[in-house]
Amino acid sequence: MTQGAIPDEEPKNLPEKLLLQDAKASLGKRILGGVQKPLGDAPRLVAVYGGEPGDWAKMASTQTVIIDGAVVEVHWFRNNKTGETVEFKFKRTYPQKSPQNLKGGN
Amino acid sequence: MIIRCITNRGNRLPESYLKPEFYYTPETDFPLTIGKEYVVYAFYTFEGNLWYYICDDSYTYYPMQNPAPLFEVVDSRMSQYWRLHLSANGLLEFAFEEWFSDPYFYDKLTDQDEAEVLIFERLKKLMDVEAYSPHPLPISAEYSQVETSLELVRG
Repeated sequence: MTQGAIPDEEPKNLPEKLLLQDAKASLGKRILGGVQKPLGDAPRLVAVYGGEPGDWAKMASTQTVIIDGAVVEVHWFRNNKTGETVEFKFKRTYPQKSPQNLKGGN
Repeated sequence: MIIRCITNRGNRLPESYLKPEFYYTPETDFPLTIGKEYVVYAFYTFEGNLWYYICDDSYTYYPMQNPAPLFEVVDSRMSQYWRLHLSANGLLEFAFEEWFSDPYFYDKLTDQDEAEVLIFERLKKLMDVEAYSPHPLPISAEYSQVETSLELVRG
């Protein structure tokens, strides 16, 4: 289990780089987290970055792009109180029934 | 359960949905189509707000929560796959069993973990079929059928 900070994922190409820039510049949309149901990562985020478990939310980019047939979006964590954003990563969804949709797929 | 989008703008939301921690503003555009119907896969209420998990117009592999005031209910039948869960902090959730057997199910699903992605794909298909299946007979008609059957048995 990962205990420390997870660095931002590096974009693989220019469209991903632009998507990441856009995600970092925007508010994004909240996937889950907050006081009603803290994240599974909340204890680690508190230990690494501070705050309370209910402060942290998982966010997603409002924009997606299609790259090589995959729908790509960006996820990250945001502290609701301080506005700190950390650990940006890409989520790539390939056409239905593709094993690449699962974690670790590229 | 099926709902229909009646607005996709944040400026139509009550103040209670515009708290900073929800990241909505009056200018927010939701990826929803007005007039389009959406199947509800889970929902919850907390502190007076109601949220539906649906596969909205930007759906990729996980359902997204959306504020209830953006919709009207088209078919209020509850899913047979739903279970109820009340948390100590007042969070009331209706969702399928796996959502609760692992308290981090949705967290893992959004992380694209293999098992959770496959579970949701399977349940989505089942719930889509269920949502658009014909309505059951009204209770009065079912009761009448039972009475008829009993009379036949009694001779």
